[in-house]
Amino acid sequence: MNPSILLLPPIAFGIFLLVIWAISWLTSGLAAAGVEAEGKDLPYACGEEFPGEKATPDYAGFFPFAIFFTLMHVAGLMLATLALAPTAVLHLGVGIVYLLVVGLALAILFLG
Amino acid sequence: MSSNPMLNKLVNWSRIKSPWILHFNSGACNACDIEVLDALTPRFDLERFGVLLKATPRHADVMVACGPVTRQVAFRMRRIYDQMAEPKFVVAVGTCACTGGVFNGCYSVLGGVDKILPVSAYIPGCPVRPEAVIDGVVKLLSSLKQ
Repeated sequence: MNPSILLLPPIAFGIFLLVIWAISWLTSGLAAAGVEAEGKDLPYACGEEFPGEKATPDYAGFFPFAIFFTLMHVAGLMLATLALAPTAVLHLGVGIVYLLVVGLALAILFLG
Repeated sequence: MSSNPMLNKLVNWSRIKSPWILHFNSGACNACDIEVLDALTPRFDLERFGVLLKATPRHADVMVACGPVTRQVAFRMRRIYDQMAEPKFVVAVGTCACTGGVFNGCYSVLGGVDKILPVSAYIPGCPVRPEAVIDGVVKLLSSLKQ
């Protein structure tokens, strides 16, 4: 048998499932039996009643800042890796153009 | 628990070496709370006994309760105790937690922590000194060995 077959995702998943099941089966007998009590399974809220409510995560406010940081990081990386030799006028021009494009993107992001 | 004594010994040893605590103010003036936190700082280093302060009762083995139990907090305290995993212990820190202290008999106070929960260790003092907290915790851990 080829040993690399053990690395196939379904087989590896099955092996780990068996290992976890065995650990759980062996150790659950060691745990002390719990006592049923009112509120034992409720969410921890400092002992208070915690009424459940539906919540929809909304990342709309976060999105512009995520893009902003992505643009700035990429711009920083690009500018930092440009050639700095005095003869590299072309690179300097590329850097300026890149900064202008980033500035335009930021203006669209926050002003447009 | 297992029927194997060696396994039980191992489990008990593990529990004694990692007693995670939940700090609970049941109506204290904050003096004992500050001393408990002081005991956890590197100066006194209660963590050398494996004691870790946890933020949820689900992860805690020991409830460290400070102050007299007020009528407002009694139900909440009982619920939090119920939410702790077995086996669990309660340490009453400070004179107020032990007996109600100067607040005993007050209309809004039920008394010491043992009016609500089974207490495993009493650490008197007003406020307790960090050394006393450490001494109480060590004695509690020693009692768990038996």
